[in-house]
This record gives sequence, structure tokens and C-alpha cells, in this order.
Amino acid sequence: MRPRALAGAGATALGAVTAVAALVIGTAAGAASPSTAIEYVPSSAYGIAAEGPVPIDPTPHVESTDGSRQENSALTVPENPLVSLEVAKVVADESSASAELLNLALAPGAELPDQLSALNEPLQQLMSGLQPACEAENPAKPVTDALGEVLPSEIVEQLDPQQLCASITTAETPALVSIELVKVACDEKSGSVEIANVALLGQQVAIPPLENETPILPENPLVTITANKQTSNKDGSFTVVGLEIDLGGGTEVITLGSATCGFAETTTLPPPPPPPTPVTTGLPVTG
Amino acid sequence: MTNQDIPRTPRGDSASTRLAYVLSGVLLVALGLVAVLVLSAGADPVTGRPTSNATSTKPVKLSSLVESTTHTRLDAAPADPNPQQATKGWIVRPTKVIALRVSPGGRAFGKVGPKQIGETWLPVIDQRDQWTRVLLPSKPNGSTGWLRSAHLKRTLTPYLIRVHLSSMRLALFYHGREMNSWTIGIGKPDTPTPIGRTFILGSIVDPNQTYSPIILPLGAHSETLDSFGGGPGTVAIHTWPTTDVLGTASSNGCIRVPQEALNQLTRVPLGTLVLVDQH
Repeated sequence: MRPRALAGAGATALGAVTAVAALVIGTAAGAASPSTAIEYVPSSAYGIAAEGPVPIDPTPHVESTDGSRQENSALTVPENPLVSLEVAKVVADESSASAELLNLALAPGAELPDQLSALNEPLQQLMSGLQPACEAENPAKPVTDALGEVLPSEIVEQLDPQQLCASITTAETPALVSIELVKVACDEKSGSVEIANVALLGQQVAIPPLENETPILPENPLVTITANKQTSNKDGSFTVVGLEIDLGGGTEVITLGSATCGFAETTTLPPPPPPPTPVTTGLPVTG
Repeated sequence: MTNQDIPRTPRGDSASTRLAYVLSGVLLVALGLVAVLVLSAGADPVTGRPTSNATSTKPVKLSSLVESTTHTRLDAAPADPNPQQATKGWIVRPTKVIALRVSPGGRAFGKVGPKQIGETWLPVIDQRDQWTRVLLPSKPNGSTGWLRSAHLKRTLTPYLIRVHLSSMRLALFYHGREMNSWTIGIGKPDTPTPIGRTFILGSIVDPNQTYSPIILPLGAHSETLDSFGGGPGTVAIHTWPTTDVLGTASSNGCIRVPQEALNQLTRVPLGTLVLVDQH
């Protein structure tokens, strides 16, 4: 387990405030002295979302538009053939937000759904090459060769042929990618990401230091995983995404763990104009 | 004073008249589209000659423009794009007579000055660069125009007035919170109170009227009465000598409120938004 906490880019665009809710403190109605208004740029968080042939709405999702603490959780995701998880918990308040996901599995059974069949070829090539290789008398070299047909050497070096064969010959083929923990958090100025135990076809892979937009796996035809994506938004809020999984060069993009931190801004309002002085004049109105 | 005592000029509601209004509305929209297309093509909307900058502001002769008041009609005014949208409460007052334009830096179609009934205060509904879009007091209802921000005094009204016609309630909001609401009287079915976004145009004592100590004319006009009692059909908020009109649709378009409501509403700054809806 190699958790990493990182300082992120600050939320800079404080000028572009989108007021979603405003609370006014100060003078009573009609008084002429200045009032103070608190304007909130909302904080929000979600566990998982996907765009592409298998869309998934942000689940679970939470938003705080008035500075209050909001929580939500889910024990599953909307039924889909692509991703499963065991627990997801999200929290958002005035200027902080977090999302935590446990035991994620992408492409359970190492099979991509029909909607993504175009991307299935390299995966099927890998699995069909591995099965006979694992049945060889001394499987180490044939398995490494079969892996090397599809995957780059940086990944192949991390996989133990014996363990890989043991896992794919069990009744339940492991997921293409499994992740034990994704945890993201942010405050007004920075974000942090923790990731633990990422496995490719059941084989744990090393997690590199999580700099901003870190690729978790070397370039390969199956899946691109980018960790710790941090963005300053137009409204002055700040978003950190734990993992972005890209299948087929943008065909299907899955976001795991997203936290957006807003803020409260206090502004002094100008004094309201005095009550108008009635003008004596004849203007027939509709009565 | 009863309704019958007041001379009025019905605009008429025959099918042919309505059709004429619909057709003229369609024509106006078509003309507006043509104007937009011409502008976007980078041509002078008057001469048709290409211009180097389609949004450059042409100087205008103010004396040739009609002033936007409750007495005038400016059919070229762009319509309110969000007639039920509350604003943040910004209101502006022209510091001198200035041109009203169809878009930021676009064609001038009228003018507005710092005084009309009293001080002119208009609600801001949009802002772009150095231009401010406001609601206007002239006909037709929902008229808007763009003003050069440099010639505007600006402040914030904390109030908002919502008028609900079906429930016949008027609610007064202060900084987004409902402070009070009252049962009101509204326009009869044949002289309805117009729906949409308008504002408090003035606060007057009319020596010729006895039904309300103070009358608050709005920026809206009756849709069915072109003129009324010698006036331009301006809709207003005011009291009524008897309370039996409250909770009824019995006026000629005006909003009749109890005295307690008028006491509070007369404290509301000119330019404050009045949102009239069907609820």
C-alpha cells in the first residue's frame, strides 16, 4: 500500500463568483446602513461517474450550496456491466469535500460489455494467449511472451507468471483492473489523493508517486489510468479527481472519486436607497 | 369611484384585432432577426454598408429619439428574455438623457433620462462589458434596452415584490427572505393584470384620485386598455376604499392592496423588481 497525499493547485479565480445562495446579515428591513452578504460557491463530491457507451450518473453525489455539511453514501453503483464497488462515501461542506471508494472492480471477469466490443480485441487476445501459455510445462516464459504480445514490458515485468496463471485458472477470472481504495479530498486551496492496491488481472502493480495527472499504468492498448487530476474552475472552485480511467482513447471515460471545493465570500452591500418621496402629480392608473 | 365612472378606451378583443397584433408581433420578430443578421454580417443597419466593427457605437441625435416613459410606446425595444427571472437587485439611474440601444453598442431606438415621474430608477437584467440592460417603463410590456454603463448611477435594492395572480397574494422579500405577504385584488378577466417582470416606476400622490393616499405606478401597462381615465393604461399598486375587493379579480388591471401593505411598499426603492406570475 502506497498512499500519497499531495498539495494541489490553488483555487485562483476568486473574482468569478457564482452566487448560488446568499445569506444576508446585518440591518433590519428599511435601515439605510450597509448590509453584509455571504455568497457561496458550492462544494460537491461524487464517487463514480462514466461517460461513453456505458454512462453512469455521478453516484453517490452530494452538494453543499449554503455552507452546511452534506453527506451521502452508496453500497453499489447503478446496474452496469463495467464497474462495481463495495462502498462509496462522499461529503461536502462550505469549503471542503471528499470522496472515498472501497474495492472497485473494472471489467469484472476481464470482459468488456457489448457496448465496448470494439475495445475487446486486445483483451481477448491477451486472455486467449495466456490460457495455453499457463498450461505449458514450464509456463514462465510462454506467459511472459503472451503478455508481451499485448502489454508493454514495464507492466509485464511487474506481473508474476505463476500467480497470474493461478488467478486466471480459478473459477472467477479477476477484473481487468481492481483498486482497493481511492480517497480524494480538497479544501479551498489544495487537493489530496490516496490510492491503495491497484491490480491488473489480479496482479498488484506498483503505484508511482502521485504528481498531478500521474499515469498509473505505462501506455498500453487496454486502459489508461490517470491519477490526481486537479482543476481550477471558472467559478473559483477547485476540483480534484482521484482516478480517470480511459478506455479506447476517450470512448469510455470513468471518473473515480471527485471532490470540488467552493468557498464563502463576504461582501459589503451598498446601503439601500431611501424610501422614495411621493410626487404630487396626476397620472390616471388602471385603478 | 366605481369602474363605470372612469372613461376608458377598450382596445377591443375581436378575433381580427387579435390577429392583427399577432401578425404585427411576427413582423417585429422578423425585422429583429433581419437586424441581427445584418449586424452580425458586419454591415451598418441603416446604410447597409459594411462597417469595420459591427459593434462600434454610432453617435445618435438624441432629439430625434422618443423617450421611454409610461406615456410612450417603443416597439423596437427588445423583449425581456426572462420575464420570470429574479435579479440580484441592481438598479440604475441615468445621469443624463442617454440613448437606448437594441444590443450593446447596437442601434439606438429611444432614450431615457434621469427624471420622469420622479427620479428614474430602472432594474438591471443583464450586463456585458460597458453596457447594462434594463427594463423600461414604456409600452409594450416587457420592453428592455441597453444603456452605456458609464452614464449610470448604480445601487442595490434589497427588496423584491412577487405578485401571484391565481392565489391573489403579494409577497414582499428583503434580501431573498419573505418579510410579509397579503391578499390582494387583481384585474378582472377582461382587464387582467399583466404577467411578467416589471418594476416600481414611481410614488405619487394624485390629487385627482381619492381611493389611495399614495399610488405606486409600475413599468407595466394593461394589455387590453390602450388608455384609461385619460392615462396610458399604467398598472399600479394602491389601496382601495373598501376591503371587499381583496381576494377578488375586480380591478381594471391594478393591484389593490391593504393599507398595511401600502405602508410597507411605499418604503421600497424605485426600480425594485415586481414579478407577476400566474401562480
